[in-house]
Amino acid sequence: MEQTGAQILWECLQREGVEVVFGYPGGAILPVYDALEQQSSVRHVLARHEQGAAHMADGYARASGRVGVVLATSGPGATNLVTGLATAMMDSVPLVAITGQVPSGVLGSDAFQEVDVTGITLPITKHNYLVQRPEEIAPALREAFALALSGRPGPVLVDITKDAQLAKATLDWEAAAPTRHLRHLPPEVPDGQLEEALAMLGASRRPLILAGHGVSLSGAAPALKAFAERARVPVACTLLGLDSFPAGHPLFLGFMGMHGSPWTNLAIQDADLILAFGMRFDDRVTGDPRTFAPHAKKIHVEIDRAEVGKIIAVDLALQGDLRNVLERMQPGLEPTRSEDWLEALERMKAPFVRDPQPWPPAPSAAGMGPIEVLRILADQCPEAVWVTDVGQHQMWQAQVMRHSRPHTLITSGGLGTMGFALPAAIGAKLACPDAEVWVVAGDGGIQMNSQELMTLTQEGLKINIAVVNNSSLGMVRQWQTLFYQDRRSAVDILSPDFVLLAQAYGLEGRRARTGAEALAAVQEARSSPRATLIEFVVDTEAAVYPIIPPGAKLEDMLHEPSLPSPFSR
Amino acid sequence: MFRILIVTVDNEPGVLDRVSSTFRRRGFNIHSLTVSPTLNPAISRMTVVTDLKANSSRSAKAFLERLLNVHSVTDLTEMPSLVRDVAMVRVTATPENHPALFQLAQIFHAEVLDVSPGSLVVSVCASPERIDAFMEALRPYGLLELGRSGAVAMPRAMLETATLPAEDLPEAVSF
Repeated sequence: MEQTGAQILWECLQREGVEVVFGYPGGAILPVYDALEQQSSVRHVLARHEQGAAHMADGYARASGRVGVVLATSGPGATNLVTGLATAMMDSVPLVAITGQVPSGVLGSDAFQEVDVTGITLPITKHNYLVQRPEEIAPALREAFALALSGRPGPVLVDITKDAQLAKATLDWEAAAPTRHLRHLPPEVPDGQLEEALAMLGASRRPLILAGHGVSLSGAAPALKAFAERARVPVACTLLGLDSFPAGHPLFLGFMGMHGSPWTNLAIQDADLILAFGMRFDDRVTGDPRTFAPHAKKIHVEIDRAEVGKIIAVDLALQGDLRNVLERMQPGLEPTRSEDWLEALERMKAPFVRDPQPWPPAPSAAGMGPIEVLRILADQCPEAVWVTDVGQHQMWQAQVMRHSRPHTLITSGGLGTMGFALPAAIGAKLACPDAEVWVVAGDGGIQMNSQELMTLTQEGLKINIAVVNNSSLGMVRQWQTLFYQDRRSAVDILSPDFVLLAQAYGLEGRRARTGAEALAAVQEARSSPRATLIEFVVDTEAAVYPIIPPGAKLEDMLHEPSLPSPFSR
Repeated sequence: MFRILIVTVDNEPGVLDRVSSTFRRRGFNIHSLTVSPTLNPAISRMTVVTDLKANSSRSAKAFLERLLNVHSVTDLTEMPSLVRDVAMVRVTATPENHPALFQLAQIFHAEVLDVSPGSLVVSVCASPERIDAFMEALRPYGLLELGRSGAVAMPRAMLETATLPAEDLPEAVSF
């Protein structure tokens, strides 16, 4: 049966199991939108900006583990996807972006709304396609879906000319089955390497696991827990690995890196064996890479060969799927002789977590402190899915929140994209309609994509939004204070009345200035059937501590100056 | 030290862009790059000469193998290999020094392609080192113009992956 290219596209999406796409229509994608109305199984969510649509697809993918799909027109529609694609590329999120393109006959002539989107997105996608014939749509899409999920996941873009959307062809689903995505998948890690790793573990007295995003990406969280428990190895987490190991577990050591907990970073520097699981030694994690974990042999389990040895030289690289590696190692695991080490870590931690003061300490603040707000949120909503933006609140959330299961922290780690949280939460809520979803954003980031509040209302979603408002671009201000002799430049930011803004977009709006108001607002937001935005007015001068200055050693962390010893060192 | 990478790729539009973009983005310098057909019309062969160090070369290979269109990357520097480059040189010539230039050309197995008033054009196909030596020999006469093809290279022993069609590549494991 002959169909238009646009109809073929929707049939392919249905056959791939796509339930929702996020997009924005326009001239060069009109045939696809025309065909959208002729099918009923895929839900379309109309964003207010293509960047928002891309982050929604990203949040959907991170929350569900499935491929997120975003649809945009040519030219500005396509260029607006760029930040979303780069965000997904850096954090290994499986996305398929479909863009309309001007008709093939005028390609290269600077036609209206023509842009070389495959050229522009080449370094921020795993692969991209320019499709000019309807017969090429199914092979390109099937390969795009396979590629987005295989190996190290990531975004793939399919650009389809308008004439290819309109022309007719017959869909041959079987003939379009992809194979090329298998080309560079590593073979299973050889048994000999697993034995080598087990031997290194057996010889270790101070082993430490560094858990990254790869744990949840490969579905390895249960395998990681079993591994750590059997081998008696503590687990430190990167930002994107924080939800990969239960925070209440006795072997959970904490958040590592620039704003990590002191004992976690000190443990890295003291360890004699580092087991790096699905993480890539980002500079926010290593500090000065030349001084990182100087006493440790290093085993890197990583699916992407290009990450092995990129930043940190390792003693043993197991290139492959993390879950497969951990599950195959499990039968050979013996408890390591780590008892002294675990006790030493407790001693290292004790002075920083003195009763009744939990980590991180909340220094005295002018007005409500931001850590106080995040602690209320954490206590009230322990099972929520947290979607955080970028900046100080993101780091405080990472320090305070205690995640108990995977896919409960969604945040832009690698690219650090402000404006990510609100649209990503819309995607996450659509992926997990029964989950309690919270956005945490600063007053700067929420203003970058606040137009998506209307998308939230139009889709009838119950999401709560915490805006931690310190009337400042706080992280930038903090760096200016610490590293630019407190010369403050362009960090005072005015915000709209967030309560009125929420109401204008059809949400409930609340404001809290004290701990009591904050607690009441959170409880009311949770019990209300309507999406609620709460503005938490917090201390303007609060800073994220500890902080390891960029490029410094992990042990050279700076603590909140007003705190007593052992913080003041 | 120059390193020579043989990159076999899908014969598709845009692949050169993907490969060269990978070198640019990771800060690897390309000394020369040639693209040519292979015995399999679906596959093209790139010979890339770079000034990478050994560890950067491993890294470049890994980054290139991230590309869907790349079949294989082989660093020829570590194995016995054959390298050829073609140069065309325009050199200042007078009737008086023609005999000397012709004699030089003969020594280097070069061919005189054209004789014009005041100059002549010679071409040579040889290893890059030998071409460099030829250039030095010609330099005193006055070099006017140079065109070089960039290296084409092959290992002495047969390179399995470079000639296999895609469907014959070893099966990878999917997770």
